[in-house]
Amino acid sequence: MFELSLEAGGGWTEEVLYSFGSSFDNGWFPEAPLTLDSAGNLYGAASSGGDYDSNVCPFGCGVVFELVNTDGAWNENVLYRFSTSGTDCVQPNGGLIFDLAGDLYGTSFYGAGMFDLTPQAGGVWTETVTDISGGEYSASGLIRDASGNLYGTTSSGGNHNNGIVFELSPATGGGFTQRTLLEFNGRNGADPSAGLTFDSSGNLYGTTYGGGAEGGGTVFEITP
Amino acid sequence: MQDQTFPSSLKMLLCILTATACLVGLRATAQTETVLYSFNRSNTAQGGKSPDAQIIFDSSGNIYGTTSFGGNGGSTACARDGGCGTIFELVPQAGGGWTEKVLHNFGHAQDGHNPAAGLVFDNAGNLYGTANGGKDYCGIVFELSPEAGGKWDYSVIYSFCSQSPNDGDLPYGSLIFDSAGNLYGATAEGGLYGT
Repeated sequence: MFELSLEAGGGWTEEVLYSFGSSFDNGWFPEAPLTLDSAGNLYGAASSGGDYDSNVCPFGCGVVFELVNTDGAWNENVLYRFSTSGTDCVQPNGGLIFDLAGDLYGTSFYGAGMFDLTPQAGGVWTETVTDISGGEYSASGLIRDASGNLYGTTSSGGNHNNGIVFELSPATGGGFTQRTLLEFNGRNGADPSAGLTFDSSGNLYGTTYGGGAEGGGTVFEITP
Repeated sequence: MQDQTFPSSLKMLLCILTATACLVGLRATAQTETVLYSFNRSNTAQGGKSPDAQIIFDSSGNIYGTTSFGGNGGSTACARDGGCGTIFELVPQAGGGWTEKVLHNFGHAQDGHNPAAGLVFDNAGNLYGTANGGKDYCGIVFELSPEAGGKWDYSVIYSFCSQSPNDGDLPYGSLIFDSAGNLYGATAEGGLYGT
């Protein structure tokens, strides 16, 4: 994890603040963008390392971590290690978001799930997994609207196996209800690997890695 | 263009049947997707190809993003490898539709190439991002500054692996600013343990 700070006379100085990998248990390969909380701590996901099973996750199932700055030294706390149960999310490589209650949400590349990590007393975080029905391989992470609905993409799955855009709405009594907003079919884009963006009117925007009229990917808009 | 709207005639029929059906009909209204821009699949596509990252808006409603491949970086290495990628802007047009402006064609080697991450604005309107290729194939952090006449000045503000042996390598993710204006990111490889 690195920091670039602006020098007084212009120019930037880079400093490596933390190196992953001193222990496999603490996560390898943090591919996802980081998330900052109001106290200046950084949160992210490492797609490998953590718990290991040669069938379920040959590079480790991945972890969610927190990097805490204490008097200038950055230390890592592993908040959650994805399990080798075969039903958990595995290998998260998208960014994380907080809700207003302090839960952390993200998506996993394998297991095609959305995970919700809830902080408990004593620094323990518990996980609730919501299946992303029909979708496979989510690298997008999530965005959240004012009503608490979560939006993301999967790069495969769906009716045409070209990926989907999904919405997960908080359900009465807990859990989430999924609505698939878009099934990619190639012509309208294929294989979205990135997260979504809202405009100021609440329309959703995203990119697809492939597909579209010219075959080299698209920028798309979804209007409610 | 792809229109996936729930047929309005059917929605109207539901509305006529009962008030409940009307509500159900409205809730069941599917989303409408519009493809704003299609990238060409050619490795040397002028507009880039294979966007791999989240887009962002400026305050005027223009879209900014990156493509991992394509573009006209000009080097033979770029042409061989499927293009070095671009930074693009999509500008909404008065009569509808969007036009693409390529703000930078990555040029391989020290210039950086093949970005997989999105962009972030600072308070002054400069754009920042990362690319996985660069000097020693370690990745870079770049800045794009707007200039008079709609041009953008591209500069590499940091090349990874330059603080051997413990520097980061392969910055896949996008960057974030803290409130003091420092940029933070993670690299998938490198560091003390290479991971």
